[in-house]
Amino acid sequence: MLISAGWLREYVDVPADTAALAERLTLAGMEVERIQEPFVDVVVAEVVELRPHPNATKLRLARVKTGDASIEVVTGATNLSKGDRVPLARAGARLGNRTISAEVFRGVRSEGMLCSAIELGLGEDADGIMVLDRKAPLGADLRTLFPIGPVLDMEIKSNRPDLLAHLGIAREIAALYGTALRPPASRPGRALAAGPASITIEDAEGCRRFVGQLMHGVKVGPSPSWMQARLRAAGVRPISNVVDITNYVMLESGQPMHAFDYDRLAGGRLVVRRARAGERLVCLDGKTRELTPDYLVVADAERAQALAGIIGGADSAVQAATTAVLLEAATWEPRRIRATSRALGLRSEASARFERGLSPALSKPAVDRAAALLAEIASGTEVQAVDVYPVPLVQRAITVRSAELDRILGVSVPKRQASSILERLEFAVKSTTDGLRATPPAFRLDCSIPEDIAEEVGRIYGYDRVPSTLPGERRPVIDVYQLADADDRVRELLAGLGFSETVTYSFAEAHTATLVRLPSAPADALTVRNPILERRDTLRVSLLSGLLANLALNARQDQPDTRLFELATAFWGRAGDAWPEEPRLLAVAAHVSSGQPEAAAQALRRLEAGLRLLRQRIGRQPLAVRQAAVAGFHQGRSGEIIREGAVIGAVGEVHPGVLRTLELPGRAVVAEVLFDPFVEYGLAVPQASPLARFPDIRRDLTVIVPRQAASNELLQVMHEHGGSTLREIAMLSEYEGPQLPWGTRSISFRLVYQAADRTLTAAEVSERHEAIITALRRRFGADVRA
Amino acid sequence: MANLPEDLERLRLAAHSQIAAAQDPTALEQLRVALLGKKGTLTATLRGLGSLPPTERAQAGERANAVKKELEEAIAARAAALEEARRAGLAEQEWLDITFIPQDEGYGHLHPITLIMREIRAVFSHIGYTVAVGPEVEDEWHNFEALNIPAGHPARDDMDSFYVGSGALLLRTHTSPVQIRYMEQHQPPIRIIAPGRVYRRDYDATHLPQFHQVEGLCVDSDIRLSDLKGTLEYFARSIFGAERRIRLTGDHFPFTEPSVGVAVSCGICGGAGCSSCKRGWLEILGAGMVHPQVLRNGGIDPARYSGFAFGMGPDRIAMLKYNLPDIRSIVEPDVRFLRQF
Repeated sequence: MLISAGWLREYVDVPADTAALAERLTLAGMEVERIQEPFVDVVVAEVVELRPHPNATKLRLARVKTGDASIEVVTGATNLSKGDRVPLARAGARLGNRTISAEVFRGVRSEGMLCSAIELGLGEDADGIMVLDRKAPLGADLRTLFPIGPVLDMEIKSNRPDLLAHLGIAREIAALYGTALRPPASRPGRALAAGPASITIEDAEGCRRFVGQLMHGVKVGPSPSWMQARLRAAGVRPISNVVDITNYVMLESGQPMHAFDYDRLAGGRLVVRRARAGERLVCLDGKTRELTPDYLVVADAERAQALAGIIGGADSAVQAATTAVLLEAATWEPRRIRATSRALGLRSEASARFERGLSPALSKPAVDRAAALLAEIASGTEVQAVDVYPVPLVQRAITVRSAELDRILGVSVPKRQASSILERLEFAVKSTTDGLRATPPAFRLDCSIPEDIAEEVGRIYGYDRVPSTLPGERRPVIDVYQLADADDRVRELLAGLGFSETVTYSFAEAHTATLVRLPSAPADALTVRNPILERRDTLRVSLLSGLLANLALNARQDQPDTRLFELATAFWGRAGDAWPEEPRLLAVAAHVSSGQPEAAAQALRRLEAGLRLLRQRIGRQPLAVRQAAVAGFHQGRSGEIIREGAVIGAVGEVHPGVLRTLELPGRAVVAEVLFDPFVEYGLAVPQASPLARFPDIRRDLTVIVPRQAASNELLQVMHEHGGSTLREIAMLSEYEGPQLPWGTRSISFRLVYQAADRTLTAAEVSERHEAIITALRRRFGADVRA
Repeated sequence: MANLPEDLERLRLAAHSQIAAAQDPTALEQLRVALLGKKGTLTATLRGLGSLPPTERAQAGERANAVKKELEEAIAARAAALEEARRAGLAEQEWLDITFIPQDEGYGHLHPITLIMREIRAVFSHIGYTVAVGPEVEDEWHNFEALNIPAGHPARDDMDSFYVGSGALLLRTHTSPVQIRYMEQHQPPIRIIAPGRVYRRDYDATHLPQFHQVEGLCVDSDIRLSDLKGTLEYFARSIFGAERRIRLTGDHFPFTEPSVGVAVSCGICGGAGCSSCKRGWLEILGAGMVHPQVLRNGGIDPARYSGFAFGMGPDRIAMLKYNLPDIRSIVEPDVRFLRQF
């Protein structure tokens, strides 16, 4: 629903700017989806001089003034003459979403633009410049001449058809801000019961009320420009004064209307009935529709003249020569309207309102208002009023106790304030001893139980003033819950990778406690003064010696090649501080009973793969390993795990001397990490990035490097020189052997190039690729086979 | 045999040079056997002691034993030296590129919906909610009528349904029927969430015919709108971050009264308004106080109990939290997408 703020101001003062108003309406249940200003900084200017464009026959130069100053603009319009007042959009002005700037047309600079009606959203004439009234004040903002904006695009909930109307929104604003509502002056239509027209409802179940008004002496013509501007702002196209008035009244009050050319109605009467099988109707949109008895029609003595509540018929439509008009404002059964509208695939402004269930109370005032406008604008005179209303609406009072209101809302709204809110919404309110009794206004059918009253009070009072509590103690909510299941997920993942969890004592033996540990762990372990076992007199600084001892125990029990992990705290004494640090460590260990270096290498790669999985899955980061000789580890098969430049772990094969001390035959591969930084404190959230839409180009590269050059150092150099289009590098294989010079090794990579915004050319990839190869040669003395 | 001491001395010197010359543990072991084994030269020499006159035998025996001990020690020392040398060489010999990543790693990934559902369940279980489930094929009573949506109600337009078989049953259009089913079986206090798949005949840039919802229901004596607000504020801050705020706006659902729409402050602009949000807010769910008739339909006396209910789209929550490009990525089977989780 498009609501013109300029129109609203006729009915209510809005003591807030548009953004604040939109916010307040949204909170109260009328969501403002967009705010649009049809034109900004467009001013009234006068044409003072017109001359031909020196370089173009179809263009002219217009000198226009908005006061003392004048500027020159280029225009293609032919309808201008000197002295015309026209809308001028200077550089910086906006038309909808378009900002006007000074531009050069065929060598002549135009300092702005003269606007046509269509460009301003004020008409359909696109051919010429909109010529304004000569009395329009020079330099005046066009918004003061056409006060329609800003336009609010609102989403109205299905239970409030009364809000599909400017007056409905104005009433809510009056309630929200406590300002006065100024409904349009209405005078009751003269009760001219006797007359030529007759209206009969044959299908009472489908039509609750039918109000008609016969007008004579109507002069059909265009409606006044203010009305046209308002209709356009609300998205309705002006047609003629009679049709425009029916639409205007609908947009004002919410009641859809129809106007029949009375002289074209056979028998001068209307009948509400089911359509006959096979009956046809040529509708206002020019289409002929076949009707069924499921549809309700408004017919004359002979045939259907309108599809009730949905669309009018072409035969009885108001035309230029029409002088007698029969106005209709009826109330239709919402389900019937909805069923017909769906069956025909035809939704109209009228059907959208009727299918939500309009109150029958709206129809009479709508007809009266339309009749008054017809009299005022189209010289019509009232001849006869008909109101068929078999079962008048009775609104029941709803009794609600104050305690009940407080209980539902969880906030105590003072009774006086609750009454005042309801009264501003036009409920009739009576105070009772323990609460109030409220009767909904006749135009609202959505309130019947105390909860409905609570909603009215709550949304106007403001849900932002309802406190946040939790059931039970009702303390304010300050707590949040953070999913801290990193521990459990790491455990499950490691178990899935074939590692079994062990729980080992925090007590260690002094001679093994510090054999293998993280580089950041202290070299001296804390001692226990009164150990329960004499040898277990030390608090562990690493979980690894315990895990390795467990591997040894398993080996002795004829359970070789065991894989174990533990997630637990260690104790790191701090110099000058009695209180030790208690880092949470994750340690994993795998036994390689064969003792073969190749088997150990394979086991180490598998263990690293496991670490990569944990780091990616929980920490959402890649695993960064730096090749390094770590104490207690095999000096050629170990490295540090890095996070943000700091060492947070170690991985590698265990030093043979350590294995001998711990009496573990064969070999073992292990890793230990500071758990919390390793899993990024368990709080990392995956962030999806868009999938590449352009094809990638893949190039393989084999480099022969000194044996002890680590792959990730090569990778780093490749990324440094690969540019932004080098998306990914995969390691394909490594080789060392007789086919290569002594002391060298070859590594094959696959480089994937891809751009986010275009298809890469082979030439630009080759250029990058060559840069990488050159850098590898220079940095590593690499022999490159691309 | 007077030259025995001389033989011993010669053997001792020769053995030392052999030990020093042994280059690997195998050669050293062979040498040990050759010298000190049962048939070893020193053993043979010791055996020869028996032929000496008793006066000399004691002295020669002492000497021979000393030599044996000396050689044993020399062999052990050599063995240790060889082992040390071997280990020193290991770093060089067995050097392994531990930064190389083989291509055959094949770990799979969990779906973002699983991740978000797990988190939503955890957040609510923390404040005492249990998980309830209901059938995906529903009847009209549970899906519509018991929720105040009779035939012909406009809300049915928003929930165009898939009918199953002869048409008496349909695929549920929301998880709200679980509210009714749970109330039919349980009296208050009730605190449940009901996650699951739902179906609507809708397919465009912002709708899938099959999507997910999580329903929540809390019924007890004296449940208020403020409890709903507090619960959802706790939820939103737990999921999106403690700095986020929520906003309740008026709304309309047939099965709640009052009804509210709930939005969370935008994480990108912090509520100031940006291109990712609506003037600083992101709508995440609909909620309200359970309509008394719905309580009655579930067999609960609205005079004694009140409750709140909410329904959210975990697809949307996942989109916001994981920066998914659009709703259709939920059914995106491209592994390059799945690998990001």
